[in-house]
Amino acid sequence: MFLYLTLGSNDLRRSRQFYDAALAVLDIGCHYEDASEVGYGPVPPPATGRKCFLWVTRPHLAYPANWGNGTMVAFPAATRQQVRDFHAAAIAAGGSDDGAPGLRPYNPNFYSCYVRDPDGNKLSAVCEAPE
Amino acid sequence: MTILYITLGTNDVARAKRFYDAALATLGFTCRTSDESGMGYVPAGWPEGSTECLIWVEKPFLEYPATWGNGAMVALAAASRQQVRDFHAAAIAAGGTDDGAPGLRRYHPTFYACYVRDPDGNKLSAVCEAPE
Repeated sequence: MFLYLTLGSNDLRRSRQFYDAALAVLDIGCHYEDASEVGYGPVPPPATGRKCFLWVTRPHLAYPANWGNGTMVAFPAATRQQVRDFHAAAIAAGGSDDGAPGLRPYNPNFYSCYVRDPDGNKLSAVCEAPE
Repeated sequence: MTILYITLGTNDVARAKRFYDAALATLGFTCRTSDESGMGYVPAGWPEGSTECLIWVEKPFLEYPATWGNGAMVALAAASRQQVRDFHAAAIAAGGTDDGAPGLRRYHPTFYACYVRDPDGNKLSAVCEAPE
């Protein structure tokens, strides 16, 4: 099973501002921070076990972080409005548009958006519930 | 689940399939769907009939070569330390490269992990957090 995921950052303060704002609309928050990484998990955090499933981190290899072409993280959204809120919050917080909220051909109710974080990492929010 | 899915890029779908089929099998994953553009993997217990997969290994949406991200890594849960070792060995035998031998890491007292690169350079980890 999936345990956690890391994405690289060249400016953790900038990343923190971005992810705090963008992920809040998906009920995901920061539960850990130190000089080399910030960790995000569900809000409220689980009573037991691992609190963070996404780490935004300075790379282990000591050269600049970059994004991978083909690498993307998709988060579930409960509603289409939440997809739109995520997209707007991400752009307002320093991200960039990489695909406006809307239906995609993957299935009849696949409503998604795509953004880049300030380091270029690609993120998506997806609502698959009919509306 | 707070992640819907993850994608990783590949420049050689057949090579990636050989690697992921072998490496992920040690952690209970199976390939649920596969075509010329990539494939999707699901962990044991994933709903039958679902076309959704947890991990997709695909040719990139942007039509230039797939690259790995420095700082990006996917960590998968292992049930035992033996499973971590099996994953590491299977990954290397299937065309991956070692990026950290199985062993305890400093994150907490029973954090037993290994690190590998897939044939495209994407970094993967298997972690057993149970005491042994």
